Amino acid sequence: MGLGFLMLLMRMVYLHLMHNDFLQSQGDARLVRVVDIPAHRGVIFDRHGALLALSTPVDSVWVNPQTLDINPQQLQMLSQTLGLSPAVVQAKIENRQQQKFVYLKRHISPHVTTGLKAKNIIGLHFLREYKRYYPAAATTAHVIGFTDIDDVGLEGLELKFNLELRGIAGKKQVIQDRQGRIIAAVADINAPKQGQDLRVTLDKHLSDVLHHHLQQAVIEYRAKSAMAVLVDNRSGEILAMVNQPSYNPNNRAERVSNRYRNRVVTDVFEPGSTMKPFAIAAGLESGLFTPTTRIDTTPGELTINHFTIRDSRDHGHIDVATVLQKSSNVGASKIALSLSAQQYGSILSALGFGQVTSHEFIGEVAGDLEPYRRWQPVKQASLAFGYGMNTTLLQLAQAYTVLANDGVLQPLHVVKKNHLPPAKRILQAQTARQIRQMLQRVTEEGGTAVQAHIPRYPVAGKTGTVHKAISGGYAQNRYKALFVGMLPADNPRLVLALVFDEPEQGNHYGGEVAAPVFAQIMLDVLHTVDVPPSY
Amino acid sequence: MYNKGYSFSIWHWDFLLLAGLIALSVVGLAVLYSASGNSWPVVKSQLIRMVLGFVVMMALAQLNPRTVALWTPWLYIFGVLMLLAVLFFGTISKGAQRWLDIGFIRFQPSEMIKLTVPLMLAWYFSERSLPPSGTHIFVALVLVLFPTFLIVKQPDLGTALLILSSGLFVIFFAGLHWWVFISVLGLGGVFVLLAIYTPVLHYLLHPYQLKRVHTFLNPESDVLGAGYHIVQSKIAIGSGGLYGKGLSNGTQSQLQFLPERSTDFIFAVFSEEFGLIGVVVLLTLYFYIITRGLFIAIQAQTTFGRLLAGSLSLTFFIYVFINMGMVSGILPVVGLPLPLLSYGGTAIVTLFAGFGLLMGIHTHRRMLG
Repeated sequence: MGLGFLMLLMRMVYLHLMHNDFLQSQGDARLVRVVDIPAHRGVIFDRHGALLALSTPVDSVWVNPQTLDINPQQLQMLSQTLGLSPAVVQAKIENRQQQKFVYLKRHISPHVTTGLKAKNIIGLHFLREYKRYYPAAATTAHVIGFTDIDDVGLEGLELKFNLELRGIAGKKQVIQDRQGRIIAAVADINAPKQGQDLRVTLDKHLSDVLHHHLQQAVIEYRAKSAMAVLVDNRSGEILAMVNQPSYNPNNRAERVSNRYRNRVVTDVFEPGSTMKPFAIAAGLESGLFTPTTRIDTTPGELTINHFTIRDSRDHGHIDVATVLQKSSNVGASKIALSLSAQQYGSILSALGFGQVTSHEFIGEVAGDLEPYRRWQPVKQASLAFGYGMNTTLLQLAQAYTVLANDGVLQPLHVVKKNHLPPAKRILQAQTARQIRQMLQRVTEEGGTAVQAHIPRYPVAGKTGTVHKAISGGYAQNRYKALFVGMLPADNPRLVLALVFDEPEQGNHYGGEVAAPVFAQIMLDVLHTVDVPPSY
Repeated sequence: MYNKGYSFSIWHWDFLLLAGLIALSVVGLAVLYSASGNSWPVVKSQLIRMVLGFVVMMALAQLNPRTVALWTPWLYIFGVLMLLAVLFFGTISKGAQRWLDIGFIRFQPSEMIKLTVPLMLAWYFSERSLPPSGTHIFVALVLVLFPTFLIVKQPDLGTALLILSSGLFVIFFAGLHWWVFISVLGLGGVFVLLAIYTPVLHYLLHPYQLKRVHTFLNPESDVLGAGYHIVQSKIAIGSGGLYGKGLSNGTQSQLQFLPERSTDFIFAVFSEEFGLIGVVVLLTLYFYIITRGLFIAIQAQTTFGRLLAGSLSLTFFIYVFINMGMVSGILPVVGLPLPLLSYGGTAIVTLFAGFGLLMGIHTHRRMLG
């Protein structure tokens, strides 16, 4: 008997003292766990602080099929809470009997799961996650983009600023019991880093205005697609950027590339007549022309190297201002051809053509402008009326802000900045003012865009109607209708650029399609933006 | 000298044994409180059983060993009949047929057999000349092995082992040469080893018993399955260290990593929470109680009393040794509770009944001049 007790005692000494460290650490390994402290993603605000994207806490429900202990009533309640049929839930569990982690449903609002949590069903667990929600839905969707189910940015600003927006989960040590329930927190290993908030220059309300009108217009004209961008020219801040077709980022099913692509920065087109003001601006800068210089556009066509440039009709001898008002291709070409390639080309480059505009957008392209050293006369002439080059709508809008800002380029941007990026003078103030006066005549009686006229707010703008480029040439009956305008013309505050792709209903001209939408939008915009009328 | 013990007893109680038992019961209740997750109802029902056990012990202490000896054969026959009844009409619970349901109460006859086998053998030898002849030993072995066999069939290996050893102890005390005893044990050991490493075992043992043996030999081979009990229990013991983690502070036991923590594996809870120092105190308590029992055996005046007291005391030791050995991983898991610490029904009453008999043997000695 004594021997027996001695044996037990020795065994105990061995376990308690000699083997203690190993067994202690084994014990800890069974109950001490490191778990994540969730961090939420930063919020995206508009310029007035309205929420455009936010992460709300949600619960994802998962089970461990190996420990799950659930009775039929609880299964019924579980399925009801998750909005699934009991058979589906049962199948999910039974099909993965060998696994230890099976999602039943992700992203359920916490107030729905409260009742379920109270049941304390063994093997049923809740994972705190964050679901991204976009209150402005479609109106800002193309700029903001969206995240995936794990809250990682997939598109738009969500992707571009993912590193800043995302939170970094912290880690803490906890004690768990055998069922994996957390009993107590031991220590924080590192604190969670919450995502940074992002403030954008967009205006939620104005985005809504643009979105609404563009949607109506696309339906009315039966256009394939459309895009628009509204800019505060003095600060370079983008106030609204909308596209049609659009999508609701809260609905994953609508996330198809054709709908979420931000065409304003990803799609290029030939800007057509909307380029004429820049050819004339270069002419004025060269000192060879003044607004009243007369140009012979007879007989309404001009042939260079077997390539003929045509006007819609013979405008005869007209001054520079009328070239713009009547949108004469021959007149604009003649002005461009009278300049050196360098004179004209360096101004186009300085205006930002052929370069990425803001670098804040995903998939933003540079457009296409051939370096002036390689220009042939035909090229130089066709650039004057916007063919032989590609631009994004954002580029075009930025070039127009230079005219609006008396010749100063204030770079466009969408992320709100404490200090504006440095501005750069491109044109003489007088040149810009003269162009604006000419552009004002476009929307007045006898111009190509009388429908862009707004009472008490003189509009300076330019229409464009371009044949769609197709492989091997131009489509004869497929057009893009453009209008870029600013107001008030004497001291512009807002620049709005619009493009409709393949309008089918009624006329296809920029002045007929895009100009009236410009006016509709601006009338609504002026309700909320503080711009004093000119008279 | 022999008067001294007698002067301590009022109403035939042995105060030295009583003190040890009370101390052990108090420790048992404290550990049970912790092991049950601070559940008062569990502690209360254990306390009620202990009180019942005490009453039974007090009552049995009043019996003169001579009277007990007279009843013994009838008790034995009754017990064996009950075991047979279990075999044919018993209630099955947790894969074992150990219970007899007689309407208003469920009864475990193997508990009664724990006492009747040593009683029977002590009676048998006390009627015959010692040292026993070969025939007598053979008869005694049959008397032990028959009920043992019936209990193995239930199956309840732990209890069968206890009953077998209680019978063997009587034979040993009856005057078997120690070398015979040792060689029987040795042969048994060889047989067990052979059985483990040959397919014989597959026919003899229940699958769960087979698994336990394999698990004992290498618990780490199946940490999440069969080896879980023993690995967890070793971890719990070793986590205690020298001083332990304090009552209700053992992480392994409180967070439910330790299985069967309030019954068979309660010693692991005790070790984790009271450490090596607590274990030494506990072992000392058990040692004290067993020594007192053996002392009573030495002092007994009749053969019946001596054989019975010796067997009961050593069986109590086997109880403790097998449980602690299994919990600490030096013996295979055989499902025996730790006396007076483990939570559980009839076993406690049986234990106290045995101590009642011991007290009776000690306090009914004739005054010698």
